[in-house]
Amino acid sequence: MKPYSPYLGVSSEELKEMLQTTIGIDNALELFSDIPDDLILKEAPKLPVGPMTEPEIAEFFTELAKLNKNPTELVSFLGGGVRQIYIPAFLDEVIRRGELYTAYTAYQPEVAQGMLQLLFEYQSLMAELTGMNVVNASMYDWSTAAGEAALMSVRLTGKKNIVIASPISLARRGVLHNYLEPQGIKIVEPYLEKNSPFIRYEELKKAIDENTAAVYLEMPNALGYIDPRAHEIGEITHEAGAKFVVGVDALSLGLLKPPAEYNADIVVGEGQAFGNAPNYGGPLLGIFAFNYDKKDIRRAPGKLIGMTQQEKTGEKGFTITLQAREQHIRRAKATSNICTNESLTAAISAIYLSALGPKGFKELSLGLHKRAQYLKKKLQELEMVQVMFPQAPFFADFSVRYGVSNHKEFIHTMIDRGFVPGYPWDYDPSLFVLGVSELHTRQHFDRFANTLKEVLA
Amino acid sequence: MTNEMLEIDGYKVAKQYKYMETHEWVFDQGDGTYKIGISDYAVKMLKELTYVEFPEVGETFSKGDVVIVVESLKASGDVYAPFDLEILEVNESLEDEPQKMNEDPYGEGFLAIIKATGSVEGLLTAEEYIEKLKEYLAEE
Repeated sequence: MKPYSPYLGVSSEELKEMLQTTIGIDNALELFSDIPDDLILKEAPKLPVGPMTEPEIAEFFTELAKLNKNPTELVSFLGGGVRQIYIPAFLDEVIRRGELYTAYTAYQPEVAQGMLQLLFEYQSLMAELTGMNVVNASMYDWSTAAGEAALMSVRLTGKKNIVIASPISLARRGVLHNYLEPQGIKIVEPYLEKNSPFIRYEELKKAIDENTAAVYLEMPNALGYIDPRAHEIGEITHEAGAKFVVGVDALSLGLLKPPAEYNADIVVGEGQAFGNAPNYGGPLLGIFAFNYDKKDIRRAPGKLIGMTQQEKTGEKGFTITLQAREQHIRRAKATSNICTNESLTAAISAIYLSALGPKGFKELSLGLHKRAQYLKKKLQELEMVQVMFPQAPFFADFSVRYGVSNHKEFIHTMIDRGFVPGYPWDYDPSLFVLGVSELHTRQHFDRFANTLKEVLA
Repeated sequence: MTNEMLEIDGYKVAKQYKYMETHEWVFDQGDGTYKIGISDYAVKMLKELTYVEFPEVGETFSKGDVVIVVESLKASGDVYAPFDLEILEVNESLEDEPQKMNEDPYGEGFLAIIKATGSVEGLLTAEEYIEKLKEYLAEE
């Protein structure tokens, strides 16, 4: 077969030769036979305009991009694990240092010692925050980490039900569904208690039985609240022989107990807010932590960085360890099909947390909570806003109803006035989940309350 | 029991044992039970062995199933069932001393003791296995 240029298109003759002679099929569409027919585009989509010159295209897209609001120019109360945060200037400076890079991609064993050490530090920091003693070098995000935790629980217990003990977002549920359903693993979801952001305890108890591989609890949950029954839920989980998986907003761990203290077996969570921008929803930083056991560790997903010593000199070095269970060696039989990870966001979070230090991190966590308390109080003063579940403990997110009939219009009105009034809950768009960040000041909250007063009047 | 060894290119092959093309060995203990392990060639290919993932005692497998996974620093290998079998005993001492597989693959480095639950035909003799090894070595 003659070589084809990757930069020039092929002629229809060349295409035919490639398809028929080289791989023996008639039509390029046959390569996509796995995709359901109704999802395949049969003809090219019609473009609204064009053809255009390069400057025209640049102008077209610049104009289009102007329709997006720049979140840094808005006061945004979007939360749910992903937050707009302040990124200190030194972070960029440190993460770009040459010591961290080689020509190899970050998931190869030959990656630079600097990067390996940072990932090792990341693991150690997360171990301290979660209270667990093994942390992998990261997963894509909270949702995929939760999916992997469910799969690991299935591998460890040989059972096939996953019980969800918190309200979870539609996105998270979607990922869990995609991870579990095709493998015949069932997701069991008890209902919420009336007028409460928590799962009905009696129903949860009934749902946990001898078929349960794991019980998954989010702290805080998707509505923002911290379940005071976490310890008991862990107990009934363990009585049934299942694994207790806890999902956390990692920022909360400066204020809340590490999940190890209420006997979590696996801790997952989102670490984006440790120095990373929201990045349009990704790349984020999936945290995955558990406790060491010689056998269990081989059933864990992802990459693990270890520290080792030169035998003679005692010099320390860092290395990818237990690689043989990973995809690049074990192929289709790998423990998980994640051998890449979010090395860069994990490394950034290690730098960020090291700079904050334990005291700084506590202050950050507490500062967020105080801001949320202040915002809650401000909103409670407004007659037209209903602050939900006022008795339930929360960290930096909580839920409200604004008492408007047209939520979309309300959101747009607020955005035009410079505020994103929270995240409309997936299952009830009249319920908004508000999250604060350290960028918010008292003035922001006061202005927000005043604007609400005007808009809702 | 003296374990008479044949040798090819520095790879030892125990004479009384039977083999699979995938480098497992099987030793008939004469009472309906068999010892299984992996050959000297296999351990040398895998290099320093670090871990063995065993099945449960009492578990049953069909011929060709993956029974055990052995892991070295940079590789892992599947150990296939030579025939339909049930696991009677696994060599737990390998959990603490996996290097025994490298040091004594036909002796202390055995993997498990099994019971045949079907026909045990179709394995290679030591001489036949050596012929196979010759083919592999020629390809290298």
